[in-house]
Amino acid sequence: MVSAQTDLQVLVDQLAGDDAGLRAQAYNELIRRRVPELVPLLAKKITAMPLGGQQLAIYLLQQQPLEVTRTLYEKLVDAERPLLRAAAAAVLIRNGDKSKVPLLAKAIAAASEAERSGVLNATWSVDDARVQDAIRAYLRADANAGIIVSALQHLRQAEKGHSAVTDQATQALTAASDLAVRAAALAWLAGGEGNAHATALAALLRAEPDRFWPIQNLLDRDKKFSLVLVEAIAEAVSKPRSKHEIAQAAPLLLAQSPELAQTTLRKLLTHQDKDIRASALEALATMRGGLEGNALRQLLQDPDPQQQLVAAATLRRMDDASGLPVVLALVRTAGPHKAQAARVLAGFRHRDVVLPLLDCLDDANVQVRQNAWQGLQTQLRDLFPYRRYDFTKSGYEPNAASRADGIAALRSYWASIQ
Amino acid sequence: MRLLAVHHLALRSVLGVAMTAWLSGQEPTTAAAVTEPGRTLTRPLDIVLSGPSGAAIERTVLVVVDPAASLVTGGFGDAFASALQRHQKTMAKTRLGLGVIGQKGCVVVAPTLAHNEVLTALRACLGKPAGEFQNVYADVRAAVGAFGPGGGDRELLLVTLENGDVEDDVEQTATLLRKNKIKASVITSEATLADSYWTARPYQQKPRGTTLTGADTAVIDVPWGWLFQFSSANEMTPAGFAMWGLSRLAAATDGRVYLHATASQTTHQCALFARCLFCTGDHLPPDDDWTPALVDRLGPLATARAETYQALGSDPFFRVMVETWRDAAEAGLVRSEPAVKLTGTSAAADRARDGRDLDLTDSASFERHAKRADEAALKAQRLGEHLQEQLDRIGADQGSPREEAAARYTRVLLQLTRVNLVTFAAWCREVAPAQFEQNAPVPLPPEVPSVDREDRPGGIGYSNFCLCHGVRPFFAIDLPGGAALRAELEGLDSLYTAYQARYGKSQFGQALRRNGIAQFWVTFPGAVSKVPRVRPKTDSDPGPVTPKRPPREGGASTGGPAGPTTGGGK
Repeated sequence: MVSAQTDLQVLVDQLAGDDAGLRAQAYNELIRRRVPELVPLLAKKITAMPLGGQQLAIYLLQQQPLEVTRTLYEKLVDAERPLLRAAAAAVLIRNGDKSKVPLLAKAIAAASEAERSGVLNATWSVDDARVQDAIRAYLRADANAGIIVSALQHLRQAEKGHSAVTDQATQALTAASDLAVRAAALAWLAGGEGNAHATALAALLRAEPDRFWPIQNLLDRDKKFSLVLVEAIAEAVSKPRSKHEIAQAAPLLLAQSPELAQTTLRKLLTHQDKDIRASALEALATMRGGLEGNALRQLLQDPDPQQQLVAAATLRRMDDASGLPVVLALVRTAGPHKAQAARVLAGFRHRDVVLPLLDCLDDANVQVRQNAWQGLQTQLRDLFPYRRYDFTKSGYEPNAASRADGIAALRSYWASIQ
Repeated sequence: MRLLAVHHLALRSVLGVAMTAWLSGQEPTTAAAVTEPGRTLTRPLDIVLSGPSGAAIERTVLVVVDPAASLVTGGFGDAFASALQRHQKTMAKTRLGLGVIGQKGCVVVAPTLAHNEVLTALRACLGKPAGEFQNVYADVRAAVGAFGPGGGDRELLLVTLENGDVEDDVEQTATLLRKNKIKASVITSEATLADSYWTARPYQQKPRGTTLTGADTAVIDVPWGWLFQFSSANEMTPAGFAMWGLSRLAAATDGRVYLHATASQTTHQCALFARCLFCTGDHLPPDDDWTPALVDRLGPLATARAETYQALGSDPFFRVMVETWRDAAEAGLVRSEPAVKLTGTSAAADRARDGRDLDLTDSASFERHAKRADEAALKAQRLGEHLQEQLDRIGADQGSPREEAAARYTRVLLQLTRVNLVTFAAWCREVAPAQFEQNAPVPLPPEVPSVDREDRPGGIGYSNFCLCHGVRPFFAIDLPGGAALRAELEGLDSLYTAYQARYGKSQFGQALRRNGIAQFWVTFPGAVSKVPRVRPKTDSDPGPVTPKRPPREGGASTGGPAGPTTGGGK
């Protein structure tokens, strides 16, 4: 117990230190532990921490129940640093103490440029015009574009759409010298009356497609944009920097133009980065008519296992089990694809699937074991709907060091019901 | 069983009649002829407010709004404001008025050139959304007087997402509108296919003098309440069209029907009140995109109810379907008889009598239930075979496509019911008694006993495994019935596949997928507690007695460019 406490103290000291790497490690460990004993230790250190440490400490405190943290928050509303004041006031307001609204508005206004990102992250779900006014004041042409984007996202949520006053403040940013700020403002205004902002944004994106990624969440998802903007977005999406960007942008493009979304994503199926190819395929697979059966069946022969698995999974979703033999072969082959293969295999409801999943329960890769274990449970419940299962009684646990007994029991059970 | 000499009937194609009427300049007779594509609010408002010519001519438009909460959340106020702004010039000579359903006399703002007054009043009425049943037809009649003499072209835009099913006198309303040369257009939500929801709930309170209907058709023409279906598929299947009464108003007055649905209402879900064994919500059904031409072909008539009965009475598919439906109800396979009486070559409304209750679930007499299920399964087989023979005798184009789809649907449902009865009988004989045997072998882990209590069961419960992925995947599922069930499943697969090949991309294909294979379990008597007697008192002013509309599940199709798409409700 003493050792655990000492250990906790060491981690908090690291969180309060200047080494950003150590801070991150300490934060990850503390967030995993999630113990209330952390709160008094943080209370002692938080005001003296560097800004980066304070931001992480705020997240850690938000994990804890209010009855443990309330006293600390009541103190922090008087802290010197606006970030701490804002974070504490916001939590108390969210829990019903509306008297802290003026304090929060004041702290938002007083926050330094460096603190503003943290302030915005801490003040979610506070629905008050004074707070919105304070956040709106962040919309300045010389501000950091990231802050502008974050502030606008806040305002959209709080104002449940567009307010005239925010539109007016954003309008002033459309002439900013920083193109990132200008792009954010145009994205915000593009869904409004007329096509002028959409056209200007389209021109900006055509010149600098990478500007699209930071501002994509500012584009109204339920508005139809002019074709010129949709084409510019499609052009930006056709030059992704990572697989995650495709997953984010595909729904927006799909809502605007299913045809253009599919054309753009199909082109990415031959991209040099295999992760981008797989992500494009996955995005297409979610679209009605995005992938035709014949094209998918051809992909089952692709040399890349990831492509084969996405094709097999998509065909299965379209009630076509022709990819099952391919997946059965892949799940028996070692490689980085095996966890995905176990997951895809579990999607089929077929007795041939059970033994390969049982085989995966002792794989060296924990992800493979977990996917197989999850899949096996679903498989048995669905294949045998008149039987009742309690899988905790099997004795198997994918993270356990010793798994042999559990696997033997599961194999015996499977043999008994054949 | 009644035998029908179908080939001796004076057969007349309902579609043929519809086309003849259309070509001869009479009012359109099908809902498809008056229903516009799309599901947005923008397009109908653009079309109605800007007028047919798109020029600034003298017109009178009365917008009659039924302020349900769904209209508020659907953003009608903003959409209306934007449309007014867009069409400011073309509406320069348009007198615009506002009626609100449920308000005394309906009209809140008499037609005026001061359009902002209408907008302000509209926003005020949307600020107080109503959840009661409302008789929109009576209010439309009351609003007719607001048009006054002159005023150029006259159009009444009825916006009601919920209350098209509260009918008093649709024909009287249509006649009054027509007499006053008022075109009635409607923005509404999609009906469900031959909706039987209110027919199945006759106890529901409703405004005085009204009947709750709600189907896309004047006459419920799809059998509902099938044995061992937890809920009726047609009550959860988007029809692709509005409720009949609203389509009727548009058809009778040269108006149009615009359907509205939100994206969340049109997302695919395999099952509503059932479990899907074959996916975890990621299904991409090949038939999800409906074929608009097919949906239209299977659309209902928008004629007066009396004319609809007349047309259906001479339709051979309708006649064999109704006879089979009645026989199935008498055999206990369907909950209710059809509310239709067939005469020589016509049909008339009839009381929907309850079907026979086979009493299969109210006790734990498993052997007795199994015997009854065997008999009922045999009956289902015979009815199915007989219906098939009759369908085979009816030539192509001898009846309406819709009634043919309904009759063939009935054929598949008879086989599905047979499958459910076969598996039920097997469950009663093999599975249920074994759960209560003394010294029953303890299953190996991870399996645990299905029943872990020792008291006597009180009855039988059931739910459904949905057919959204088809019948074939069930071949892999361990269901009571063994080889006998497998043979029946293969028969069902054959019928199901043939039906979906023809109707899969339509409202009827969707309805079939909304049915399911039943799963059974034993139930136990619950703890009974004494319910205190409530003695309600009346106030000196009892207040309005308009009942609240209870929530219900439904579905909607997108009506997008690729055609209506299967919906799923929530």
